[in-house]
Amino acid sequence: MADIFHSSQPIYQQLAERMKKQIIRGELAPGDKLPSVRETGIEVSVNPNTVQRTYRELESMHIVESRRGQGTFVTEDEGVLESIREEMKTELMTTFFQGMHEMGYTNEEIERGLIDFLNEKGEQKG
Amino acid sequence: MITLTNVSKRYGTKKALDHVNLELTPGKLIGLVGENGSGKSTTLKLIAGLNHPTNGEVRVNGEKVTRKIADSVSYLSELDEYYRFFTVKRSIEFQSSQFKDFDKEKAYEILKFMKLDPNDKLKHLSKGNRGRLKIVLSLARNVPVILMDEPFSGLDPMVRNSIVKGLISFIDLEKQLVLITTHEIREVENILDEVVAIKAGSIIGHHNVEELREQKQMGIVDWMTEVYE
Amino acid sequence: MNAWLSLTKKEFQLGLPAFLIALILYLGILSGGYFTGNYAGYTEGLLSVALGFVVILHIFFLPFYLYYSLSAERKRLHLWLHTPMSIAGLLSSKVVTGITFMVFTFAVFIIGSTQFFLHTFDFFNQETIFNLLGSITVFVFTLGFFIAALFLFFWSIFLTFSQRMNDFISFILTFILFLFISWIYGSLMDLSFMQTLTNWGSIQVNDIIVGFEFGYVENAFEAQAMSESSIFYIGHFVRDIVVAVIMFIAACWIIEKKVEV
Repeated sequence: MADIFHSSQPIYQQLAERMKKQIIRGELAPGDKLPSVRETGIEVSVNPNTVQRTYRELESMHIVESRRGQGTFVTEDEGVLESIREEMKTELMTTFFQGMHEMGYTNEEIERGLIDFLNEKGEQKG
Repeated sequence: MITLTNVSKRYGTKKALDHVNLELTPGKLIGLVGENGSGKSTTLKLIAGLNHPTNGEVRVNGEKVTRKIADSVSYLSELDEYYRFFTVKRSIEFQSSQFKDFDKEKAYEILKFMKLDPNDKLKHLSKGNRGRLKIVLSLARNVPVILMDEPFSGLDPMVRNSIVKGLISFIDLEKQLVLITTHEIREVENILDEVVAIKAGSIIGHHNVEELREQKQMGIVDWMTEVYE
Repeated sequence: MNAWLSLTKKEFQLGLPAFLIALILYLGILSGGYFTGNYAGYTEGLLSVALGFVVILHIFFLPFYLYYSLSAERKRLHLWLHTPMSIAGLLSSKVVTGITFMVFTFAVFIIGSTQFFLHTFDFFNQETIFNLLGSITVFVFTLGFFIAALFLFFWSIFLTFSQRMNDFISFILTFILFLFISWIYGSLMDLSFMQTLTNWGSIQVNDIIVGFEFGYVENAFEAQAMSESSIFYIGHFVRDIVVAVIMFIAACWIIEKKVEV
């Protein structure tokens, strides 16, 4: 359980990433109530203070909102969720392209590679 | 709030702590790490009023520490000694009679969480379950300061995990300060707010763990390796 | 108070084996005396000797009990001392349980021996027997308390030493200190001023043994001297109790200030 986080990066950020993914995947739907700070802490074996910081972080990004006395909820603002979705896509692509460019692949090679890869994957799936 | 001001402790000619200054604030889970004999246990015993400083002053919430500080400090020893004729239930009843702030309801809740049978005799408990019971007795107090000396030592991963979860579940981080000494840094890596490193009786570092990760991209183990050289 | 009562309940459990050990030992001695006596055709005599021996042993019951109980605590000082309760509270809880066990054993013993004496020694009247047993009781308990307080005092010193040195050297040092303090105490009590202060309320043989014909003793002068010789002074009892209380307080102070976990 302790291994789901890298020890050399801030846990609150890693947890925020993790929760963003859960939201984008739809595991946490818009309007859903997040587990309490302590519940999340127990689930991922992390200090509740850190979880609290993650929630604040997500709140500052408008992904979640805390309602006084009720808890923290996933935003129902589809616009925000869409932009997060886009943002994470861009993030992943950036990393991917950086890696590919570092290895010396050209854009054409990458594009061809991607199409082939997707076709193959698609066949497997199909 | 715990403050150690210029605290030294000698046992005969052996120096256990050397001019230690330390300030710990409430609402945090703090790890005191260092090799064997570096002064971790001594620090905890001084804060619990079970040892007396040779020089300097120890205060808990402004009050100068004597043995009577047991009123606001819950101390868990690393020793595996207990009253063998007690049952689990009797241990809880006894603890509850001795400390006004002991929350019996909470104790039974933690007991359930730790899957202990109240009717078991202590002399028949496994080492792991004795370790769990110590945690129950120590966490069930509504006390501003909780000190835990090597709560994971000699326990298997399952038990260590249940203790970690128990800490997260039952510590009241709004009010309580928990100071924990341990070798098993991996175990507490994700639950500590702050880490204090001690070497040969001196404090060689005191950091917020998340800041360490943010500013130096270091986990506790990396940082320990660096400061210990 | 509730905390103290609860602590005392624990002490009963912790100290029970010491009580049972003493009880078995006493019964062993008494039945040994009885059966040996029966075999030798001298039951009363040997049983009396055994009874006397048990009485003397019983003086040491309280210190033995405290030794047993505190030895158990010594292994878990972090549990015993981690409490807001005063050391006086912790120790008195042990002393009270010890006394309770002591009284219980002694009561059984006194009732038994009263019956025995009444049947056997018909040359003593009932009052004498009650006086004798009463004196023995006072004697056993006062001396028991005194030795118990003495033990507590030196145990706390031993414990302080043992944190710096090994048990053997600590014991030797404590023992030397014991001899030294006893010598000072003895010299102090021998001062004529102290004698005047404490030699009051003398109890003589004929205060206890009433209606006994001292004429059995052949020499009338000797009989007179014997019946008027002082056995003890009430003043000494008071002195011993005061000293015991002082030693108890000193032990509390030493444990509070000097003993570490």
